[in-house]
Amino acid sequence: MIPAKYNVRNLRVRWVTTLMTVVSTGLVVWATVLTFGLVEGLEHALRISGEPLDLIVLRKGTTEETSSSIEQNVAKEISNLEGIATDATGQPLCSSEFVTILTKPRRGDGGTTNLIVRGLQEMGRAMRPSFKIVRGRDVKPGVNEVITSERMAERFQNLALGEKLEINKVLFEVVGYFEAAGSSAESEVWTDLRDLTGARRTPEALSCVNLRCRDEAAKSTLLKRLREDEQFKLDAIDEPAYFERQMNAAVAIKYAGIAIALFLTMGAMFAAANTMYAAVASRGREIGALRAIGFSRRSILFSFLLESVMLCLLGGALGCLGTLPLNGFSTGTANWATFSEITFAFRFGPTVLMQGVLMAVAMGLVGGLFPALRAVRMPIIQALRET
Amino acid sequence: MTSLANEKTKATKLIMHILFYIWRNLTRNKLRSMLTILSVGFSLALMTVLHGYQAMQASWGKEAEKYQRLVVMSTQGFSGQVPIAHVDRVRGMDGVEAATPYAWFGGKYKDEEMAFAQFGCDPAAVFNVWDEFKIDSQQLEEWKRTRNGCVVDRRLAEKRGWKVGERIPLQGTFYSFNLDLVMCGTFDSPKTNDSVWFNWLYLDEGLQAMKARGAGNAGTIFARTQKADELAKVAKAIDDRFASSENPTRTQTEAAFAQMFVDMLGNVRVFILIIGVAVVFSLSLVTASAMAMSTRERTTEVAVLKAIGFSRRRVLVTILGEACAITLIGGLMGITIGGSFLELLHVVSSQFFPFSFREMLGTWIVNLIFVSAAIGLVGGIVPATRAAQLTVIDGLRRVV
Amino acid sequence: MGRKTLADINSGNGEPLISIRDVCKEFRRDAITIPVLQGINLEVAPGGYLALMGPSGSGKSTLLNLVAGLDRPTSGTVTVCGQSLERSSESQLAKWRSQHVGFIFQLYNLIPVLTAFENVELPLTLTSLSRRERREHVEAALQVVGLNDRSHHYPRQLSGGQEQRVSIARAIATDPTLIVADEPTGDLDAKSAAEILDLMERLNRDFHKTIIMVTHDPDAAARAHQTLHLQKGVLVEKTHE
Ligand SMILES: Nc1ncnc2c1ncn2[C@@H]1O[C@H](COP(=O)(O)OP(=O)(O)O)[C@@H](O)[C@H]1O
Ligand SMILES: [Mg+2]
Repeated sequence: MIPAKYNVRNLRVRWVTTLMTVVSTGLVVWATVLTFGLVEGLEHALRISGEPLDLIVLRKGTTEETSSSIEQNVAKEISNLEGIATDATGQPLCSSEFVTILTKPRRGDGGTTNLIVRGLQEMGRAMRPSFKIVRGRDVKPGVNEVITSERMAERFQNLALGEKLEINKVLFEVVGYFEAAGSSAESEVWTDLRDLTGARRTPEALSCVNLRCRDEAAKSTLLKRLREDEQFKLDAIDEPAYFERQMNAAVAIKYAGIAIALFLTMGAMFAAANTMYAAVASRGREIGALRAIGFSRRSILFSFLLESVMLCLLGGALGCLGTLPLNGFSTGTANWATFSEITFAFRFGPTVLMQGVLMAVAMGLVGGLFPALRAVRMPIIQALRET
Repeated sequence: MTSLANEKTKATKLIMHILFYIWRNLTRNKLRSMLTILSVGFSLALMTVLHGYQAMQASWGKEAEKYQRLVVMSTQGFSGQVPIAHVDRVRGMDGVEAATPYAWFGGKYKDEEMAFAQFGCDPAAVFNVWDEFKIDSQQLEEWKRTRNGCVVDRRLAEKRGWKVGERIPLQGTFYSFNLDLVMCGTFDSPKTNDSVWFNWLYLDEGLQAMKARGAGNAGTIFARTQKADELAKVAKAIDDRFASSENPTRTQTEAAFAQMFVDMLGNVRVFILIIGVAVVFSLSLVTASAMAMSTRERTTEVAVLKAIGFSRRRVLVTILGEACAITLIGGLMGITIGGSFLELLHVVSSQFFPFSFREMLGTWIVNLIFVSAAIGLVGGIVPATRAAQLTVIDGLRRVV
Repeated sequence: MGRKTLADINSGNGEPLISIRDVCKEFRRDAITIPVLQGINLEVAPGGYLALMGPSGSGKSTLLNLVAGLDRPTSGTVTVCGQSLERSSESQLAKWRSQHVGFIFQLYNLIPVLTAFENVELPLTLTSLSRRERREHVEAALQVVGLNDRSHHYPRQLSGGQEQRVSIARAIATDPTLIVADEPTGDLDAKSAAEILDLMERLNRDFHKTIIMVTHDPDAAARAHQTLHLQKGVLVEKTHE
């Protein structure tokens, strides 16, 4: 094998070309990883929202909380079912909630979009992943207050601490910001259940019941019990599956990301090929000498491929590193399942970064293949005669 | 007079000569030129697709502007109530030509979610609101008579192979009532609209019988005004009319309504911009690198040219010209690839890509062509000035 | 006609190291066939030192390349160090070269991005030697050419003569039986050329390397045991001493 330092030194000697190629492949990887990071962030938010033991009980036929409705007495009966987990005080972990969608303006010039407002009681908080108030305080029932996440406050008008959100001509004051481990709850505005239904002038209304099962066995019993109830006409969906469905929103962006990756990888591949062809062309006699000494065609091929991959990997590493400052940077898009805004943070996890690296390797391999083949295809004596 | 003409032919000759020389240089290392062109090509293809997507949304808005339509929705958004009684009130208002309820059903067809759009509307009014849509009058009469009848966009019907009499079962997701529609006819629309229209009353009766949520709700109201310049006035009149009612409304033009969906996408525009900048910058480097390689090879040649008496400017122009030629060819190729890709998307999924590439052509294409030429300029400038500034002595020595 | 005489020259004891029989070599360019070597017969005993002379284009390098296993004859047999080169595959030849042949080129052909030490070490990476053994070999080889103090210099930091000495060190690092040199002094000034020739003589005398050298310089040829002349693809004998 030709030692790798041979390649490293060659890359260093023609550092201007190397740098240009590295930066250009780096930018390409950066743009792609950015897109994948967006998808990953969105999927993560939805994935973390789904608690394996939680069930969402909806009216039969609907698939979204926003389009479901359940009667009060039914909700009460659900909370008395056997198999629901209890909290420290013995209360069933079961939360009746009302969900509505408002069309509200974004901050800046972002146009309007839809916003989920959820009315719920104390118990609902225990059922979200690590819910906590990070600024201000939680709402007091009966006085029309709301809490939301900091991200939402940044994205929407009238959602900052102390500002007032209008719901059906009733003003709700924002009194606090909460966090819930980056789950989709952080894309919502929360208020007291009765305050919200009151403002909506549907005082009795409920959208869904959210409950936690004691264990897997209890979950399957409850699922069966709820789905097969002739009288209530309910559907129960386990939470991971519920949010899995909403990932459709991510699918479109994912396809866009793949298209971006494909086009850009092609572009960068040709650039890498160009650089490597120039490298091969200027090293004809060197290649001849290496082969005369006894290096096989295969090791020459391997050496040039290695050099090409190194070149692109440098770019890939640069591109991946370049995305890290954006890790956690929040953004939002439409959740097409609910037609409402979902905010989330970019996530450049190992998978995403790995994809960027793989992309760089692909560029290097394919872009380097033809130049490397040219390097080995030439007969030795001809290579040695090159000027 | 003659001297002026002479000057002119001389200039033309010079330009022809430079162009010829550029072409020669371009084809000298064909492989490198090809690779650079392909590199530019694929990246610009991506930019074409991204900007084409934006252009499509613009076309959508423009298309919607033509037809003097207003959309009335609840101030509370899509989950709000627009009582069906509002429709008649809107019809009765000055300046309104026609109005129909327009309720989005969003049902599942067999097992397909969001396979196509379905709207509940008023068969008697809907073709007056969309008066550019054409339907056979007999089929329309048939639809008016059939409670569970529906009419289908011709292109959708053809794609699905549906004939009059086809049963189209739709399972409600938002509504608890399932529709069992019968196709009464097809309508022609200037743009693919990929929709099924059914009678709003059929849905409402079903919901009332079940005492289900959503009964009596028109969803949205689409109205057409009598005069194009009265859109804003009529919209305001409608909102004022309902402002103090139980269910206040928000009325906007169809174009603004379309924009609302675009807005929902959020930061996509910024995102496209960021990727575009990254791509352009990256390509400038690719071009610069390629031009640096070819000028380095040609150092002696440039020195010889200068020794013969070629001016700095001419050397500069030749090399910049070559860079621009490469990126322009790449750009044109990329726009063609990107355009074909958009066309393909349009053919495969006309619901999400309702416009063909031809219909989206606009200044953005010209901009992209300029961008590709500019990439050549930026990428070529350093190698070109270096070659231009090369002294004859240096250049001749470098090779030895 | 020359066969007998040539055999006579190589009156070494036992097996010849290089044995070339009826070798023809043609190059094909498009439709034209260029005959370069025609019916070459040659034997070189172990420890021989042969100089090849002849006008430019007469096929010297072509013959040398055949002996060194860089190319295969159109017809005839080439047996070197017991290996029938005309019947060996590319990869067999590569392996064989790494074990038996050291190269000295007119233009040195050192790898510019590697130091003198690393250049000499390069052929050793094809062996199974350990890192330490490799270092010892390299140091020994550099010692022979007298460039121990320059081992960390890059080729561009060396003079032409020094570069050629590094290239000689590279050629002997694996301790090959045969050394081929194609105009080793062709690019050097007289003083450096003399140094290189001294060195090659030492390799032949003290280290018992068999050497074949192509040269245009009669003084260089005079250092060899024998000189053969190639003219239009045919060997013509001209002994000296
Ligand atoms: N790879 C090749 N293809 C075609 N012709 C070749 C090739 N190698 C050498 N020749 C021709 O063979 C002849 C001998 O070349 P060479 O052995 O290099 O001569 P020299 O005696 O100068 O070393 C020349 O006419 C040369 O043109
Ligand atoms: Mg020669």
